[in-house]
Amino acid sequence: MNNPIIDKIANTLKIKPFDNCQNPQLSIARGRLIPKDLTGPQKTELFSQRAISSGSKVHHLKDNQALKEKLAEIITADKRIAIAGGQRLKARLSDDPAALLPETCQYIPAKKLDDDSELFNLNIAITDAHLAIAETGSIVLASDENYPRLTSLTAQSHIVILWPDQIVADMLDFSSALKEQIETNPNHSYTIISGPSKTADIEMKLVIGVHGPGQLDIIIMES
Amino acid sequence: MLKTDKFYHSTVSSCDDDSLSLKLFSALDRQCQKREDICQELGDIEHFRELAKAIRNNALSKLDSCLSQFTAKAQENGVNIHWAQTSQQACKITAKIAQDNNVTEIVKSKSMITEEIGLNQFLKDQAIEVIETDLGEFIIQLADHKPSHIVLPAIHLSTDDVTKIFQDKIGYDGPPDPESLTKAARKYLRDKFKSAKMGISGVNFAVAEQGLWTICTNEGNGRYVSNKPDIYLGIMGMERIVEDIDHLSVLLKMLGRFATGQRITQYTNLTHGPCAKDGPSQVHLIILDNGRSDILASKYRDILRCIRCGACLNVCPVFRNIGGHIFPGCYSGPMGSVLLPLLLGMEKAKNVPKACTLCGKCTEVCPVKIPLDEMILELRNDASQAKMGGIIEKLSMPIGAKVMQSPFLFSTAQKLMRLGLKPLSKSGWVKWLPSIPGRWTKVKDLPLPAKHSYQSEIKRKGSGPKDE
Repeated sequence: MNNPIIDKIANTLKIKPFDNCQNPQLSIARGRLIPKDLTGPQKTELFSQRAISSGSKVHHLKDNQALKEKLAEIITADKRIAIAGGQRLKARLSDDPAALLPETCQYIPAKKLDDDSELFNLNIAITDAHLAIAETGSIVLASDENYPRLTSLTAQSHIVILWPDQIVADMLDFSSALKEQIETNPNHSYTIISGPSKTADIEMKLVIGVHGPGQLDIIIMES
Repeated sequence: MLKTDKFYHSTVSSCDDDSLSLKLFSALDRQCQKREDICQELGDIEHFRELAKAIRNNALSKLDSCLSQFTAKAQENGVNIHWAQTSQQACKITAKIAQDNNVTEIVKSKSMITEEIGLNQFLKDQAIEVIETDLGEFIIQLADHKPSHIVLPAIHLSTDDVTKIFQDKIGYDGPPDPESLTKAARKYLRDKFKSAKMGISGVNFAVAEQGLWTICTNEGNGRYVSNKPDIYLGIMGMERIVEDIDHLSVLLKMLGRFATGQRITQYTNLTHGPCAKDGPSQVHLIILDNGRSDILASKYRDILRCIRCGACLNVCPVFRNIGGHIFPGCYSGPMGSVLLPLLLGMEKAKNVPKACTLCGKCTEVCPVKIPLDEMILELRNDASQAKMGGIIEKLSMPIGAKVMQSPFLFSTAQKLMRLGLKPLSKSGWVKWLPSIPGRWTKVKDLPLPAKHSYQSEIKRKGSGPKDE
């Protein structure tokens, strides 16, 4: 395909190549901040610290009963709740996550969320995570037809349920994981979430909850 | 008459605006402190800067193949790729996408490249409304201002200013505090996110090998514009590419830390084409040249490594006094002083590289090691070679050069200077001077040169002069 911009660039680089260009892949390990061989508990510990420092709340729970109790504590009465990634959560929890919700809340099933007035009226979005990154205290969501990532943006509060084996140490471990996944399934977009929505655009004063949720609760299931 | 331009005059009036420099100093000091604190985690920062530089140079050194690879992958994923050689072309492509889909309202996240090409005004003229959704950009859009900083666009405004703007433009009747103002903007913009059929964002980095690109925001508006509307358009400068997703990881580490002192921004989106039910059904990407290919061929190609973190603005002693508004384009501070003459042409921005003390702090903090101060000096040289200086500069510089090359002329000039200034001085200080030298005494007193020069004192006494 003929493209004048690419042709021009190619021509320029031919006449005037970059000198002494080192291959960054050879020294990419220099970019690592967290050792790959951290033990599971070390990764979980670091992840929790960093997530808390960027404004998330982290809860360590043992079993489904504890999860049920924690949800009852976070979710106060009458809240409108959606669950994304419910099938995966169900498999991992061996229990329907909707059944763990407190009875006083209103569960909004996924099919209703096509309606903007429902989507934009959520109090709480519960999601699973695709991965988590200890270095930055972030969780990663992947796009999915049955899994609208948007609930975790429109809701006032976001609850993520995570397992320790999903936590990778460094951003570089995240990218190599992604590399493999993209090769097998290229049709995903990803969102890295590292805390509640925030701004400091007015006189550098920090305000939480601008467009996205003002609260991010990360529940780590350490069974 | 002395020939100066608007930029020159504005620097003078900006310096007189104490409230502006106070705002800038306190905000930018905080940004620098946050950056320094979090960068301690990097350990040997030099290693990281070298690596980031190598990553950017690697992509630039094979920019043609990176772009080909990227566009082929992205097209495979269902992205419509558009190439634009000029701002005008990019604006027209955007308008066409909107018009083909009957879009009259667009939500947009903060993007310097859309400022560069004047997209909002172009679309407005075509009766297409663009709503800025980053809080800072939203505020300045309502006020009809330009961004005053590439990362902190509304840094020139106080809470009271913003309150007034919101009262006038969106009927705000709450208290003058950032929290309530932010809530009001949230409410206003949520309705726009709901109704807009098209979203636009810039591109922080594109990844050649995987054909995806990132948008980084703290507020979440980047997620909205790329995820909620049916149509999503990204606009990227053709140099904003890396070869591999590992390279992206390293640059994301640098961008957050150097821009705002965060390990990573709150939200980082990796867009990978359309996705039914969980994303837009139509995804477009414009790849813009707009002078970048000429920069690649020039001696200033290193500026193409820039990742737009704004660290150089935050440390710049000149920027801290004059702010970003008076620059003749959307970029400002040290990176703007290099980019603007290259993007706009030297004639339109010849005085911009002169607004620099050559202190070199910008180069010291740059995460990708761009030699900004050297480039600024070189641009001044270019302007003078092209005989763009005013008549005074043209006459005085050769004379100055002659005088400084001759020890005799130099010492004579020193003596003459004392003689000339003596009648105007009072107890060793000159408080007023006429004409051009008066620009000095307007802001500070000038000490009368000593009777005997340092050199002659050393010769006479065999050691430094004693205090008198």
